[in-house]
Amino acid sequence: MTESLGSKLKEKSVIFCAGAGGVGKTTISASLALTLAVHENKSVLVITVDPAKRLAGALGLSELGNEPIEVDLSGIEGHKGRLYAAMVDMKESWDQIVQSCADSDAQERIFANPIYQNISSQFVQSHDYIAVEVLYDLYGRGDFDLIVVDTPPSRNAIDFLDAPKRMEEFFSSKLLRWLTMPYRSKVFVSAFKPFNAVAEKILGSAFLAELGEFFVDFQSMQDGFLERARTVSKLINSDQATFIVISTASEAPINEASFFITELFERNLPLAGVVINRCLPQNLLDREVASSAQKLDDSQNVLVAELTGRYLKENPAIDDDLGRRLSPIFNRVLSEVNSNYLGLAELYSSEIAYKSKIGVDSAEIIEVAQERGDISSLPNLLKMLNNIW
Amino acid sequence: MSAKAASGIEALLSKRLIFVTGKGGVGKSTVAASLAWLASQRKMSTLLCQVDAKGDLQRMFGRSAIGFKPELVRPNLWAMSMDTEAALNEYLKIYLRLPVLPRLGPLARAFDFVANAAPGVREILVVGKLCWEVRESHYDIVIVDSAASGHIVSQLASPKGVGELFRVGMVVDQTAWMSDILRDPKTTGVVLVSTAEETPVQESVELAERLSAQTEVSLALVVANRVYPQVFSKTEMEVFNWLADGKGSGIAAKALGKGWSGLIGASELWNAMAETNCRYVDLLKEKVAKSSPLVEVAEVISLPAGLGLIAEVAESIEAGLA
Repeated sequence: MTESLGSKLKEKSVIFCAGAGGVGKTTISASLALTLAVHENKSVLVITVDPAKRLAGALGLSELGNEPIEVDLSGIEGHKGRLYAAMVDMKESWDQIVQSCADSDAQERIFANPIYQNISSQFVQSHDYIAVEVLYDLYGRGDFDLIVVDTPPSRNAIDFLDAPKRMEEFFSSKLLRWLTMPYRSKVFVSAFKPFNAVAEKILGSAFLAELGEFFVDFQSMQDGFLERARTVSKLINSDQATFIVISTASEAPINEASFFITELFERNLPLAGVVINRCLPQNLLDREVASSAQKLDDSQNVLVAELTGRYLKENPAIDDDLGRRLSPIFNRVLSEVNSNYLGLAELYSSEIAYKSKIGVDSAEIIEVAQERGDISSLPNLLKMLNNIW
Repeated sequence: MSAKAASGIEALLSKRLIFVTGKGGVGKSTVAASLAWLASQRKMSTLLCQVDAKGDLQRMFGRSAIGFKPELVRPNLWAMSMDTEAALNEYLKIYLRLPVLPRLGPLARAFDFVANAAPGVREILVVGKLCWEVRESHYDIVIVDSAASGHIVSQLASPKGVGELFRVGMVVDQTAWMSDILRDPKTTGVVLVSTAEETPVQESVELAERLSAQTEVSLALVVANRVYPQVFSKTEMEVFNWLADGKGSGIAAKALGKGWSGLIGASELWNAMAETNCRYVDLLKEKVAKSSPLVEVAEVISLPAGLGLIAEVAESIEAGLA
């Protein structure tokens, strides 16, 4: 028998949730953290980067930030678990990094540089990097048994894994040397000349100077940065970490999920399971249901006559006009019932086809049912993944 | 021009530059392709450009790849993928008249690094290339399958932002005419795509606010995509409920067999989704489409991404705007 997802996860310290945008990744991450806290009596933290702040609402918190906030679980009985939530705040995180990695003079210059003020949202896909940074900080505190990371919405889920490496590459890049050259050395290297000439013409000397100054200070943070990046890299690659891939059963998200799974295998990283969110009910293709739909199609007129008679008998006070229209109304309702069924059944068949394309054994797949309304309550979040044991 | 002022789809397609955006996974690429399809059907020469190349475009048009150089994929319809390095090369060629560009390979690579590191450079290259196509009138209309919500604002705000940050230099000299193109609602518009669910709508509300606060580009259309239509009127709903829970359910189950509850279940799910969708379409109307039209595109169940789906969505948009 395969080990259940729940028992695989409870042994870990960090769970990364990855997947395409729009599949409900944040909700699933929160649900997973809550479920593990309650079922395993653990102290669990969920880190999200979702700027829509929806998680906060679902968890009953008005505002989230870098500092974890405890979620009130007193409404859920019979457990000793604790749940905390944090949301990555880009500006706050960058400021913290500068404060911890740069000396005080450099800090002052960095904070005053207009480029720094602009950089937080745009610098080398800094969402990915900052999420890694926040994880470093919170993991290092050792306050939590388990951390669930809702990975950032990026062009590609894999960017997140590469963030530490990219940062390292950036620090050792030729560009950084070229940009900071005039500020580090009086010797004008000839290779730099054409670069500088064209760069100045296009970008303007003032901007180029600010950029250069910024990166000189930025480089002074290199050691601190790289050490943190390496620590997180190590954590990602350790047996304390595992991955969950989240998708819906539709074309683009499944493509992205299976791409991510392939990347995990290639990097020798573990996949704990795949969660398919918003699944249609499994009985849609039951032979029983299909045969009832067929019978409805064959004998709708007879059924309408019987139903209309019964309805009139039950509702003697019905007004004449409605009474006359009752038969066509029943006809339309039953036709719609049939076509709603056929539509969803067709959708369900395509879901099955997509699910089979994901490239993992069906035993590794957890299906979460399509919600009928909003999920914004703890009991609903707790129900979503109650089948992982 | 006809005597009557253009309205509906004609008004939208009379613009020269349309940015289609929205949260990831809402069907933004399909809507962009559908608008391009509608334009090309009107014999307008149309450029469809994907900015965040995930490969949706080539899948939809059944190509193995679509590169920076526009390629004719349908009559009157050219498709391309944005590539900042190629855009930079083109820019250098046009404005610096740099000779023998291939030999400057390392230089261009260095600039790609700058584009990565310096705020606004990548964005201005993307927006600059698109505005340039408009200014040079290479096409009647340029339709952009834009970056997802998070990034589009920094792109559209980049001419302004870069102007403030760079102050002097060639790039700054270029930003004025770009701003002129972006600012004019007759020339440029944003089409915001959302599904009618909680998170996408919330993100659309925030995006619309940021677009209006931080950019000069105006919202031209809101598309509520993949909406499950409400199929029952109030009276029909009463009848349906009687069939689902009332005495009618026993009669139907007797006539049709045990599967009847499955049939009813499917319709209950459909109704619940339609009801949720309806609520969020109303919210989109109230909070996002304040001064722009909104069209609903029904969930298309039977078609995978491809030309069939594009045509179907195009028809919905056209009908919705009529």
